Amino acid sequence: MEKMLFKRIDVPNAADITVAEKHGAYSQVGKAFGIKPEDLVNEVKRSGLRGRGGAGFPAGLKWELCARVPGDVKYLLCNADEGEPGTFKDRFILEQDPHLLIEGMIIAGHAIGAQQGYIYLRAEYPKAAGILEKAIEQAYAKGFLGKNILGKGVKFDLSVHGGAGAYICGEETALIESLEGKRGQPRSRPPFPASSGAWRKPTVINNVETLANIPFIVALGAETYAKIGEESAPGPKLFAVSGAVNNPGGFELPMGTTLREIIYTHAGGIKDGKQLKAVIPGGASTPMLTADHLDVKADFNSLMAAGSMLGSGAVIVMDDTACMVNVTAVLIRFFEHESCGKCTPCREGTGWLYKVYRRILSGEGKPDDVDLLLSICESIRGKCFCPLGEGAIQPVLSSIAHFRSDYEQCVNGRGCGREEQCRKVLH
Amino acid sequence: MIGRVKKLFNTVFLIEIGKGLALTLRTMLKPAVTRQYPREKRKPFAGSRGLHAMRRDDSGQKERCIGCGLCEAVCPADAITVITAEGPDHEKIVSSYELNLLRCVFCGFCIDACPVSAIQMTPEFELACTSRKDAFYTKERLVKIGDKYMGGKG
Amino acid sequence: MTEQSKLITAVIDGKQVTVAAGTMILKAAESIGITIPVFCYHPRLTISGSCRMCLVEIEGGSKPVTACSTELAAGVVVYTNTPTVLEARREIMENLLINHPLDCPVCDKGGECLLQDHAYDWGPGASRFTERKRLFRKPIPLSDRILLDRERCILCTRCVRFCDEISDHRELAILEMGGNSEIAVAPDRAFDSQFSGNTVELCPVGALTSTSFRFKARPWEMARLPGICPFCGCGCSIDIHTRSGNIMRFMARENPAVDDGWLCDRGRYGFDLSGGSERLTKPLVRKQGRLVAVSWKEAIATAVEKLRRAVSQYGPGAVGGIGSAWSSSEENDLLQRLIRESLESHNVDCSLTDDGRPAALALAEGLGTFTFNDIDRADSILMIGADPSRYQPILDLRLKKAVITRRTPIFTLASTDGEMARYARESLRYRAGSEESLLRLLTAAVKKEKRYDSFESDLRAGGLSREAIDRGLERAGLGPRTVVLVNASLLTDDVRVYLVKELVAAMGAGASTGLLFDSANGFGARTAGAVPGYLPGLRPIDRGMSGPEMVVAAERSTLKALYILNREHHDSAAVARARRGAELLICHALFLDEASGSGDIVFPAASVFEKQGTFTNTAGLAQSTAPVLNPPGEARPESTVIEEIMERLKQ
Repeated sequence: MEKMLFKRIDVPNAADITVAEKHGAYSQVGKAFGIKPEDLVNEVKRSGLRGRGGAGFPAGLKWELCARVPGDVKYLLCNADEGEPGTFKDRFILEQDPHLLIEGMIIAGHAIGAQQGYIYLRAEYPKAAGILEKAIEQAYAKGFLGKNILGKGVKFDLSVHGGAGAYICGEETALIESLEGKRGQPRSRPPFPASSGAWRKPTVINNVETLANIPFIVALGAETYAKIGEESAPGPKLFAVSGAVNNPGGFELPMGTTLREIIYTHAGGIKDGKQLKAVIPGGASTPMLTADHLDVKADFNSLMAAGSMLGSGAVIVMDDTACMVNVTAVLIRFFEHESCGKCTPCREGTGWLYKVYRRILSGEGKPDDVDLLLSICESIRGKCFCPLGEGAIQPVLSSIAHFRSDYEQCVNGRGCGREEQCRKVLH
Repeated sequence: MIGRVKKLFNTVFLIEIGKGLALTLRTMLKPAVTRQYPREKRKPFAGSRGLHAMRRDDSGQKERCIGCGLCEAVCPADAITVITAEGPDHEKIVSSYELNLLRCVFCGFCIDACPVSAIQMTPEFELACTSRKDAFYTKERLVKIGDKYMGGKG
Repeated sequence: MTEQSKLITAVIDGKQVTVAAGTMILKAAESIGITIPVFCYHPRLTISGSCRMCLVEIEGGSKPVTACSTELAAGVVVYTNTPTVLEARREIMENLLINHPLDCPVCDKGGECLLQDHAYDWGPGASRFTERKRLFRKPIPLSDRILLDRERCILCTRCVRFCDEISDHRELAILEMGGNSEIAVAPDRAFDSQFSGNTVELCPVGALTSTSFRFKARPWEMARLPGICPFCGCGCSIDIHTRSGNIMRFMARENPAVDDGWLCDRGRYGFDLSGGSERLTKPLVRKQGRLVAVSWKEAIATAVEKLRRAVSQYGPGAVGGIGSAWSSSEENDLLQRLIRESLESHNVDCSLTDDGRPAALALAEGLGTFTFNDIDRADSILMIGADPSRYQPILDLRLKKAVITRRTPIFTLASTDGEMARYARESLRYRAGSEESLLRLLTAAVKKEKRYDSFESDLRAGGLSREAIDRGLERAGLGPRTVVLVNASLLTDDVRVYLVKELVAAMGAGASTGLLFDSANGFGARTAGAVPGYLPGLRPIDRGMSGPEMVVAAERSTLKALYILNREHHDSAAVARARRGAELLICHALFLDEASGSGDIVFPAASVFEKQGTFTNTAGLAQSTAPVLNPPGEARPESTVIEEIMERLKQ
């Protein structure tokens, strides 16, 4: 497949607007402005584009919900708070090809009637911040942003808003709170951002990758675009592969590529000739899969059917030396640390889980502990304010479901020879 | 008719008195059941509910009572008054604990209610006093009784 | 759209419920008597939805939803008692309790604690948590009055929301995140709001405690009696909690017509001032220059004899009585009857330092008609010389509510700094003393009259101009449903009263006026006739001396006898001046201080908590209180003493 999202990824200095323009950036803005906003929304709807942030909500529908709300002031937010452990796909676009994102946002702004856009950038991407600022400056200078874009009377202002390092701010309502200068905690829904988002105005929040797809939908037309990849969720998909593989990194592949192809063909197979033990297909908050699931296609529906999720497309691979108790303990430590503390089950439950894991790893596990872990997960499941708590229990539930023997060995006090790993985690 | 004859017989021959004297003679030979209190004191049964005592806390410096007032709440005779206050380190202190023995019915509910087993009952049953004032047991007096019966720790 | 069409019907636990569209499940359930346990939800705060205790099941739903923050949709079937819901409650309770210190026996909240109650009703009974609990340093003082115990805190954020939404002082915040989240005073701020005590009452657990009540009593030991707060002109409803003859604390008792369920700290913690062991317990009479304790019989006989002698020797005009704006209407009424009927004098007032008459005239002229609820409905609010944030704090909250929820425009004119200026569309400062010119200019501006030259220079000196006032009026949009709030102490003469009347008349028929009294019964003392020239019900009568005039007359010995009610609320210096020339000084006092000690006859009085009485708040709402304590020793309510003196004077 010809690269789309990564079209300019290997072009040297593509962050510079003249280079980017030479390679096709901003070529679709004029075409998009020639289309009526309603038609543009319909075009995206027909393209079948689903959000690439993790939930996979149809992007066109989201736009339509917002566009339909009456009002002059609307906002377009780009969620560049790429905080999901294992995920670094957006970073390629933000650092190498910021103009693709800006172009996508200009078109999206036109479609939904937003005249102001914000890129909410995670605090850990200081390099991207500088590149984006510069790219936006250049776009203003060239007239792609501002009061009268391309002389067509379209207004769109864009700026970068730096996060403060909290994972929860990747959740869209917490992102809005943070953007407004408040404590980054999720808001009660409804009302949904589409009707009452940033500063209580209709707001669309899209992931970087989602917005980067927009120029290609405009360029190819919905019908052609919809032929790429999987029918249920067409388009190219970025995968960020990490862990025990020979060739970790970011890959643009059609939606629906199998996990086997991603891991063995593109990421170079398992390191040191070992066997694959587990794979997390979509970032830390998606359930783990095993070697039996390698032929599952990486798209929203297929992974869902296999008991996991596509999530952000962050494929984390573990080989057969990994202890799943340790792996899960590390993930739980992350979620415990990043729980915002707003709702009871997530605040208390993740802390409890982590304490039990620490006890198990320090050799004081009890046979009942595995069931206790499952029961604590049950007390979190479906009761949290936002999806963080729901995501936090996935590694626990899936690791116990697939690798219960790892746990049994631990809690029954039989040495497994991997105590060194435990000590590292506990430290 | 026969009954009347029988009654006359008994009356004439002082049969009843004889029976009574026989009982007296039999009992004279058995050991006495009367105790010569106060020279002679009975050993209380295990679990008998006598005078209250207050245990000391783990440091041994002060009373164990935390001032929750549950004994006061549960007392059916309104015999207990607990007054608490804030100590120098913002801790709860018992400024006054008073047990009015004139009201106490020795039901032992206060002992059951105490969450820290501070108040206990001793086998002490000699509670007579010569003034009303003496019937009011303060915290200090109760701790002393605790020291006497439980060596301060219980 | 009519009201009828907005109603929706659904089923909760098999019972049909019809509520307005948009009603949350929790409230709908409440309306048919189904209680759903909550922690973070509070009816007077915004919805947080964070504690997750109120989870309920909706038929066909994929997972339980929070009843507090989910609107009841038409036709849905809701269950609040399914095994899933009960299990969810058990799980939430277990999670809430894993790090809770479970120190209920020494916790002030024990016995009235939501966490305790819900744990008892819905909790799992035992915990499976065997790890170390989170430990924090405690208690942490948030202010001089309020302490925080982080271990007990369940982070419901009721306190934070109160400070953000109700008092708008924004002094509390959550710091850190997750399990380390902490309620704290916001960086660079101090928790010195005059409403801070409400956070303690809002706290569903024992995390926030007040220094005044810490460890003093357990909830079940206290008697709870309804009362009216006697510490300002608002007259908030309170519950007075007493234990063995002592007041332990005040709690708010919701009265939508006054306080909305909030209390200010002055009221909440004011009871500390009322007690004390120094109270007067026996009547005192001066004999050979010294005050000696005597029996009530003797004290009253002495008072009767001396009053009678003063009238017969010097005439009724030489006798005067001072009521009190802090005493009940009944007491003020009795005092004016003693002076006017029994002693046939006209010298009655309710203050030694201010003439009580102009404000009474204002009331008689139909000003002072506003109610607190008028503020909820007002189109705009004009405040003249008023500083409710300091003197009528609960009114401050109601004004903020109007500004925050309805964006009601406020126009403040004041001679001093006041918090309400921050909420005003326009706020102007005038120089104290230029009120008369201000009122004239304001009236001229409202009437859009051109003539204002005569007083313009006076205002210029005060920093005001017609242009500024015109701008203020325009921005505030004064109109028919405007509420005009005037500081009652500005009404020092009749001219000002008529100026205010003219101003309000110029506003139109719908405008209402409030006279803001800072005393508990400033309104009632006047309607009870304890002012020169007015009988109870504001019926006019011959005007005698005002309070300040009586002080001057007594100092010059033209006034011979002075009868003072409620000594503690009168200026000591004025009492001392009057003492210099007066032959007879009778007073009712709680304490023996220099001023009451200078009296010839001192009656030991009952405090406001020890007697019955009616107090009319600054919005004209008359509220009665019942005694909650017994007066110490032989102290007696003033009314019984005055009644007895009147009875004896008749003989």
